[in-house]
Amino acid sequence: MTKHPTEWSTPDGAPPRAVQRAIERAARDDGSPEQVARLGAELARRLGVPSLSAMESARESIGSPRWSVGKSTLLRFGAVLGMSVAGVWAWSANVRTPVGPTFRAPPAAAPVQRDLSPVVEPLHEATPVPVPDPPHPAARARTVRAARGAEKPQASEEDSLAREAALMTRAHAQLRRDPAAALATTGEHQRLYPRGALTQEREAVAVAALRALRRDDEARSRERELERAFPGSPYLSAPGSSAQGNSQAGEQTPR
Amino acid sequence: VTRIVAHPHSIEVRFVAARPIPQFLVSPSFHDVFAEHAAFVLRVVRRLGVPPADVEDVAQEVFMIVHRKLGSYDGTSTLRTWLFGIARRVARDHRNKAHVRREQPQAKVCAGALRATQQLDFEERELRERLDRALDELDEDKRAVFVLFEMEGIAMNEVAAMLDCPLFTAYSRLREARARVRAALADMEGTEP
Repeated sequence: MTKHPTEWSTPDGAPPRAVQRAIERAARDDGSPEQVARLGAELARRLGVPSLSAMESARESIGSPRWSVGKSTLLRFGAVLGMSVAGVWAWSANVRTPVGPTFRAPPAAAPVQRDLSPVVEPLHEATPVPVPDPPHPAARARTVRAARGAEKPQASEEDSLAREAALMTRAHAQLRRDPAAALATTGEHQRLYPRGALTQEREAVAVAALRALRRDDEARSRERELERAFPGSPYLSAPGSSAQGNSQAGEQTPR
Repeated sequence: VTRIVAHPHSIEVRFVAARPIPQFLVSPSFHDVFAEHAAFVLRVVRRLGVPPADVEDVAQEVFMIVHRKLGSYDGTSTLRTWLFGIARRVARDHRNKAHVRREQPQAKVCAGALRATQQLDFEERELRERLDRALDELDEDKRAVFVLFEMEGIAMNEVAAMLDCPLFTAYSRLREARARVRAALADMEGTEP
């Protein structure tokens, strides 16, 4: 059978394992939060700007070069994620139903921190979430491979959490202006951290991005998966809403 | 429970109504461009062949140009495409400079003496170096397609737009780049973590 041009000429259409590992390594090494922070600081100096708020906030959200373990780490992530959650929530609410109280109030810091626990609900074991970028079928096979390698002791937990948070910060920043890019970033997160601590946040951003791109069917199906894997997630709309009434979607207009 | 089912068109209408088109959509601020794309620029210049030690300097040059020219960005291409064009030119100029130094390959370590995690890291670093060398062997166009599609995960139609080439050409370059990369790493296939 002729393969799609985006697939590799391997039996499963995925990149050879060695190539995949090299690419995964590059993804972890290049454009690290520490590099971004250094670049921001140097640019601020060259441009003679005493305070560059966006750069400062980028630096703040991705943290200092070395992440200390313990309470301060959790508090920092809690603060970053709290803002992200509120942002995603506000965005989703605007895109979806600006007049209806369909979304719950933004969560407080406590439930967000709960998501930082190393125990992650088996979202991808029970119900594999579709890769959000259909024109890239090779990525699907990649996800499987990434999942296989995800439990290897490749980096300390806080390092990978820092990288996850940086990816999610980027995805969230992209959401408003370039939802396609935000979706691609969630795909990148999914490839690198198929069972990451910020899976719930990633899925919420992906749903919001799909909605903004008018890919409603995919958004609904992805939201259902989110609901199934994280019942009671603060990112969900009214209980059971995404699973209900889907047959009516597109037939009814909001009032 | 009253359920509101959003229709695609009404999403748009409501979205526009709820949020008037902000100024940053017309002319993004430098801060926003940096916050969203700094990591992309750093990754791309590295993967287009700028030695690791020079990556931050080159990315700085890219953003200094962005700072000067942002006002002339007219939105006819995506911001990412526009940035990639600048990054590609600056990376190319840097590579063409005679004094650019190549990274010295790391000293070979006896793999047997490494602990499991160290060995994993060692293998991965070697894989990465091999990938870099394979990319160095490619011409710039093929390299760019491989970097954008395989490493950045950008959809092929956008890759073609970024490189200003027909989709078919982009696919053809991808096929050739993959074959070269695959051949360069073929003898590492047996290494499983």
